[in-house]
Amino acid sequence: MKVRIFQATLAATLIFFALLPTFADRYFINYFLLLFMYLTLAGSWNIITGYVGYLALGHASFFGVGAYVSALLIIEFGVFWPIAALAGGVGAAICAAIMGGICLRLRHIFFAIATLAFSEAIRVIVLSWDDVTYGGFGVSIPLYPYLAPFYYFMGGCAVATVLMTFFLARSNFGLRLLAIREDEDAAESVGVDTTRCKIIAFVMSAVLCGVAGGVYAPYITYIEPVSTFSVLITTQLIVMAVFGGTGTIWGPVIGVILLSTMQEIFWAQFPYLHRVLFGALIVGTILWMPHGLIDVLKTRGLLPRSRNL
Amino acid sequence: MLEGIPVIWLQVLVSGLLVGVVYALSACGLNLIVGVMGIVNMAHGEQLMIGAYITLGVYLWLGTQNPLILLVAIPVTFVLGMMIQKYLLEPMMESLEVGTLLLTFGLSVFLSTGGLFVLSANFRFVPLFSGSLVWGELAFPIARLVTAGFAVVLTGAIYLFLRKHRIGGAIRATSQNAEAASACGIDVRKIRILAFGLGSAMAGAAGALVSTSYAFNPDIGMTFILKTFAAIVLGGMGSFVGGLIGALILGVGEAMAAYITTAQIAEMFAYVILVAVLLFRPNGIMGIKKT
Amino acid sequence: MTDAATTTDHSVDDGSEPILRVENISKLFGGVHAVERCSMKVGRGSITGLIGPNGSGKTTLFNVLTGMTQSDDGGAYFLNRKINGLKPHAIFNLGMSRTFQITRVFKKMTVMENLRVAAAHGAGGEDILERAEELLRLFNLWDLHDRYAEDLSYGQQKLLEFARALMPDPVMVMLDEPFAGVNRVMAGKLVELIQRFQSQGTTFFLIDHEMKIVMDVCEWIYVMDFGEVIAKGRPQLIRENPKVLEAYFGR
Repeated sequence: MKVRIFQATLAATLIFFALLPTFADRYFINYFLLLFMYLTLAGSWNIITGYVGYLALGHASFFGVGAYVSALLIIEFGVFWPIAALAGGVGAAICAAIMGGICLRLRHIFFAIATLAFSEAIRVIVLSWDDVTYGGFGVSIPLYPYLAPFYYFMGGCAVATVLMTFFLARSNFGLRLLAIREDEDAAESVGVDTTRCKIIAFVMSAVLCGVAGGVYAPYITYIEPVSTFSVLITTQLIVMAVFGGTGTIWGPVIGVILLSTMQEIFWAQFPYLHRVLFGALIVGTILWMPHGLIDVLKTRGLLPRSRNL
Repeated sequence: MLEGIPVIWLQVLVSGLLVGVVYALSACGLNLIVGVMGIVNMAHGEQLMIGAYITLGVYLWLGTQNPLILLVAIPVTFVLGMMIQKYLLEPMMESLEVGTLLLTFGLSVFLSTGGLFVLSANFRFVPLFSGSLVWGELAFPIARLVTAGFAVVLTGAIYLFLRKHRIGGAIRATSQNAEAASACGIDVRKIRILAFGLGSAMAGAAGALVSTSYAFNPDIGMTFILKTFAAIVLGGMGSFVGGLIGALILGVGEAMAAYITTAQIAEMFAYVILVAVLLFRPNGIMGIKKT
Repeated sequence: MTDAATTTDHSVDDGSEPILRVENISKLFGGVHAVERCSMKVGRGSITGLIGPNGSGKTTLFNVLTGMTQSDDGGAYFLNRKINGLKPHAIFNLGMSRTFQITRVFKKMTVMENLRVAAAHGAGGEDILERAEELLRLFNLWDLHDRYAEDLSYGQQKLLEFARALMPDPVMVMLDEPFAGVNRVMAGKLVELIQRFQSQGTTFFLIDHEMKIVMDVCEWIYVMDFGEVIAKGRPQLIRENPKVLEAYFGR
């Protein structure tokens, strides 16, 4: 019975968002577009950090790589933006495969900072490689004059992310990832090829970030290395996923919705302050509700104690 | 022997060493924390940043040119480090590493953005020293010489402390095997707090020293922790001497890269080292493989 | 190898090819030989034991054979495939599974999920569930199949780990101190299960300290001390072997 209500609400929400551009004004369309974007980012990050248990601190780089690949394909080769966006995803996947191949051999504690280092390195490369990336000048993309397509594409990314997580939570592959998270050596000894699984999961966590970046570039029409690869993006997606609850399907969703709303209503007034609050929120969440809001709700009995939530 | 080598290379080499020694202070501090706590303190760079700002504050407040103000940052970051370990990290010691790492990441964000919020994003500097020491065709800024001297003394003192003093021994024992150390009557919790404080103080000291030679702002934390990390990976994580060697190589390498190419490319040097080491010799030069 | 003890039957069946051959395996830790030129054979369908006092190197050898550590010299062959140098998961996929001395069940996964992860490579979904249920019922854990592994008692976790090791229908199971810290009732249960699966063709290799149980259960025993194999043979002979007695008591 409860499941039916849940499914009905879900369906209604999807229909609501599908029809939104027909009745809402630009402010809301833009707001939800960015919300979908963060949903994609936070949800993707959740895969490597929540399900595999390896903290990744360099996810902004996948977003950035996606944005740049997309932007450059559009202005240098005239590729139509949705294709360019998908190519952005491919670019991010390749990055993740390389980064993962090198960093996933390390123990958790070093993996985290190694991903941060790679992310920074990519930023510096993009900044310095003027010939290809226009360096600090940034890349300007001609405006595609319709807003709704961007909205739907980003919405598609968000849905894809939730579906990906859903698949992971239910599949044998996902079970193997959990085993790695619980006890990597024991997982090895029961036949889990941990290296291969970790790299696949890492690539999975990067692909949609790249696509989101690939959509963001033509949407915002101008990108440059500082803001596109900013640690702030990583911080924001982390706080949203952690607050909602890593290792769950709906945790990042709730986290994104709640925190974006709060950000929009209160914090955006004080630009520097809200970043400080993010830092404090990460610390606070880890200390007092380490498995996020979803877990608190489960403990209080407001949600069933299923891991498929 | 000196005639064969072009003078400029000697200049570059010594400049690199002078910087490397300061990196070493930070690297040995981080190694200490990694060894005893088993985590990388993501806020290590911010401790360094705080050390720089404390020095700036004391400098402006006292209005003196006395080099001893560089030492003020040490007790402050020491206490700060101990408090962080005691109140934020100790409760987490039993749980998954991911949570602890995330916590230090959140702390790092909090401190750096907090710094931006409270202070300004403008680059600051502590002009404690001026002029250069000229020796033949070589010239070295007094600031770098004095701070390198401080760094050598401090690093040496910590090394001796760890080797000779009873508590230093307790720290080393805990980092090798906390359970065994506990069984020998060592209060592991207190040691962890102490070690974190010590590691943070070393970062703070490095920050104080850096403030006299480089412009800094609340954002420098990330650059420094990444360089520090590259140094300890190169030298072999967990090894004190390894951290020292790695830091020196990093300093010299950066100086050489800056001379050959541009300053921007030189910034990449740390990352190149990192990737190279991880690919070819993940245990670093003095690699201690912790089972 | 002309030693008489090696040319006589080293396995308890019809003397066919041993499924595990250890040839001159050595492992050093910082210059000290934890394991020095060890050689052993394990016959198909046998229950073979490896005993030795603390520090004898048996655990290290065990870790080499299961892929957790790399040997420095020598070769280990399972079903005529070289296994030293392979990663644990590859060894598992060849048909050798293992248990741990201190149970390492996946705590935040259910009992059922613990078994599902260990399913044989390429096994179908239905088969996996069937086999898991079969094992759980045999081990009396079926009622707990939906419970998180962390909620089980220590004894139940030990059984779960054992069941997990049997999940892929392995050729050989390596047991790491299976009787450590278990009471007599549980030990009896474990022995029963070992013998039951042996009768179905599974080979067992175990290391342990509990001399009495090892003597009772194993058909062939190797004894190690100071990194070397000092004796091998049937339990009765081992019991009276002066070198063994000296190793355990004479120091």
